[in-house]
Amino acid sequence: MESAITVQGLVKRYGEITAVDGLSFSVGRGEIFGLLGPNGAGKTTTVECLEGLRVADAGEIRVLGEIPSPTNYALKAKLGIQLQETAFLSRLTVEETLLLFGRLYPRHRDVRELIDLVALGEKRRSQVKGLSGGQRQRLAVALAMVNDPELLILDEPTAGLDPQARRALWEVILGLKREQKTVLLTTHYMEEAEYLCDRVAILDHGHIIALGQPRSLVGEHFQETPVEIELSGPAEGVDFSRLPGVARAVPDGESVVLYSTAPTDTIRAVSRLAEEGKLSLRDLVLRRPSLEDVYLLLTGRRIRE
Amino acid sequence: MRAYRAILAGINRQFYRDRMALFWTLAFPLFFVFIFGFVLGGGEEEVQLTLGVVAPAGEPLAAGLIQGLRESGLFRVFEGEREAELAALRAGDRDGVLILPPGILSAISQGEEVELELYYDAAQGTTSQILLSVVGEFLAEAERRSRGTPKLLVLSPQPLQARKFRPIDYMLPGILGMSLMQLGLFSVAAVVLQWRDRKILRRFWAAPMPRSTFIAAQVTHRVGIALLQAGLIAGVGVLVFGVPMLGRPAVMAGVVLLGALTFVSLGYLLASLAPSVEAGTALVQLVNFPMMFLSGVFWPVDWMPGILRPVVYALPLTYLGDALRQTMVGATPLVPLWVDLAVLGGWLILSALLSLKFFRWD
Repeated sequence: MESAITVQGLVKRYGEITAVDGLSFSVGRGEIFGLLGPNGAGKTTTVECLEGLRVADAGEIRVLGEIPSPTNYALKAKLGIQLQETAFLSRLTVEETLLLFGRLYPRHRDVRELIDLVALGEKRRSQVKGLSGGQRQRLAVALAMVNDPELLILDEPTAGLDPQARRALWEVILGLKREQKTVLLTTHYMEEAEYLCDRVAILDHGHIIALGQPRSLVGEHFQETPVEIELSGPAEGVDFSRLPGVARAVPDGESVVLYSTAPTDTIRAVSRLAEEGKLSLRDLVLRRPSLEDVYLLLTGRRIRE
Repeated sequence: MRAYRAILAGINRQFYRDRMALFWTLAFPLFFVFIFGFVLGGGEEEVQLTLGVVAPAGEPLAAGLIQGLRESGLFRVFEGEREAELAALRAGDRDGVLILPPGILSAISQGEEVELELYYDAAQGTTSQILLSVVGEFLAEAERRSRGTPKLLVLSPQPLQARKFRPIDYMLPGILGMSLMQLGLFSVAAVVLQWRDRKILRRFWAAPMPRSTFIAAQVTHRVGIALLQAGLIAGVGVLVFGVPMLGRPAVMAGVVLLGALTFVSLGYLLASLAPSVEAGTALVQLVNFPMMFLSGVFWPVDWMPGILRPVVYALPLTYLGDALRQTMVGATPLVPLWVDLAVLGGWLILSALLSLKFFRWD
């Protein structure tokens, strides 16, 4: 597949601090690619180098075949950009804002259609200063789509949204994929990356610590499946770690998490113990390990703290 | 061009929908005009100077002179003793006291020079200057007539009235210049810095458009406001205070435009150089203060002590004020008009180039 973005050995320093330290990755056309990591991992810096708003100290970048720079207007015209913090002219309406920015590009999408797409129809004639945080965020995403770009670069598109609005925006982004657009997004929501992204790069301190499809990344790092059982009474004399398939058993309050290489055998053994009356089982959940678990495993930290 | 027009329209909307900003931008300089207009006087009787005359008793020529002074309509004349009149001058009840020595008539008839003492308050600069010239003119006229015609000391005041040059006439072009400066410095720098701080500029940066397009739209917007403001100030000056507008409208508008462009560019330069909103505000004040007080807006430049002269002659507002004063009310030029325009043009080009170079989107 032809690449929309290729990055080779990207380095960006701010004084003494190296924000991005030798990143390499590529994004194929039509792909939704996620840059994952906690705040300060270097996501925004990477994205700004791709957008041409910052000049890298080292490394090679090609975006849609071009070298990004602050004055590469041909490239900027093909990019849809949503910046992490966006403020608008506060006294323009939603519609006026989109029209204003649309006119800065060679061509632009129908503004009303766009407003409906991000569900701001009721606010079309409202001034921006009266919008809620979530509405502004949706306006920012609509702004990234206004020039009908080939490649969208979205920096934390769902930050600060409530779960419902986030879901709605996910559908908008998946809609872009159906239109064959390429999307690069950053996020620190692991479930978002898993839901949206074809591939992800997990960033930590300016390095990529994992790169691949979300499912296979999890599969690479976790052979065991967590089986979480909730007990309603004490289970005396039961050694969970010796049950079939269980590699580790981690007690967690009234629950126990059994990391099992053979979850079916483990579940059968647990239900037999329950039938024999050796433990009283309230609930049993078979969880799939997530990117969150991968991040935890690789860095020893949770991603949001 | 489409981008330029779109941005200009957006900025204009943003501005006129902000009623507070709109009001203050347009009303603030008018406050200045009204305050100075009423305090310094624009009304008709303000033009009359209060003159105390001390005349020796039984001097026929003195009585005639006093009669002439009264009839000229230029003075409110009080007669009194020397000490009493000088005390009144010190108390601020007289603008000047004219002392007529005894024996004028015989001296004049013998062709001798006569010295008339004229006391005035040196602290009342503008009034004194007017007083000195008006009295001087009056006496010259009186003398001419006393020699030429038997109809001694009957004056026609017309040639003197043409010299009526009131403080407000001097002040109005200065206030206009000052408001052009402050519009450029304060509102341009404030808006640019605020927009940078709130990341509004960044979003424009991401668009495929050179910075010059954005800056050009901003400058057009500000210069438009400046012209509107200048029109208001001049309008109030003419209609309310009767300030004469002697220059050709096109020339006056040209000077205002050049001044607006110069100070808007200077405001951009300051905003580009300032690392933060706070630093920007301080920087603007640093530039604003010397200009306000050293550029001859409130008092003539030649009152300034010599040590400050180099500063005075470096400030662009000195030249804008001078250009406006000579073109609008026909005041005595400080330097020829072309020098004013050349210096302003120089400042404009310099600050425009530097602000293009140093402009930052974030």
